[in-house]
Amino acid sequence: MILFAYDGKAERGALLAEIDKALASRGMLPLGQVRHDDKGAPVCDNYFISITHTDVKIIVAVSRVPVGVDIERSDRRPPRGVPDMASWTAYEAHCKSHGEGIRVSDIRSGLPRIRARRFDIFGGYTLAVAGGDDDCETVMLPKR
Amino acid sequence: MVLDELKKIISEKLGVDEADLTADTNLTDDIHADSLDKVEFIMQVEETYGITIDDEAAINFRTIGDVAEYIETHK
Repeated sequence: MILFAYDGKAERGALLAEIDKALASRGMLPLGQVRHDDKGAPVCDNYFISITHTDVKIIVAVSRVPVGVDIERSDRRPPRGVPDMASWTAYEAHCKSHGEGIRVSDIRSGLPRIRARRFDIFGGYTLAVAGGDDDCETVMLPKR
Repeated sequence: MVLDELKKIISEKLGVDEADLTADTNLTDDIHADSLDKVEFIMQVEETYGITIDDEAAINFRTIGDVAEYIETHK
């Protein structure tokens, strides 16, 4: 799995082109056509892909197995009943990795036990990855 | 009126000017509510009206008007 990180705002096409460039430099296939499925989740031809962004940070996870990723500012307040932002991002990443929407009923009844990895790529932001390949490389995309 | 109350909740939660909100305001495209914003909004609506919003309905809410219509038929 590769976590592509971009610090700033980026035009989608340009960002995906940078990712293809980085994949090619590793001898890997390009993403292929990136589109949205009927639930609005991104899909591409050659990998499983998950995208998350805040106002100024972008993370794209590219994996050989289903993956979900979520980033939030750490100073945001989680919904009532959710202990912290790490738990929230883990839950959201988990939903994405399973192709499911967020369910308020999960929050009401206490979040299910979730396996997610936490990454500290950007200071002040909480990032969780659910699913994805065991091996993980982080790639900071160049500023445009 | 439900719509006015919803506008007030959204305005307070997301810092959007109430005057800019209408029944047709799209939660994602127009006011850029993310999933965390939407969950907080739905939980606040549930508390305000003493109802439980069905998960499937919540996923399909697109506009403020969709939420108002749901409340009108379920409160």
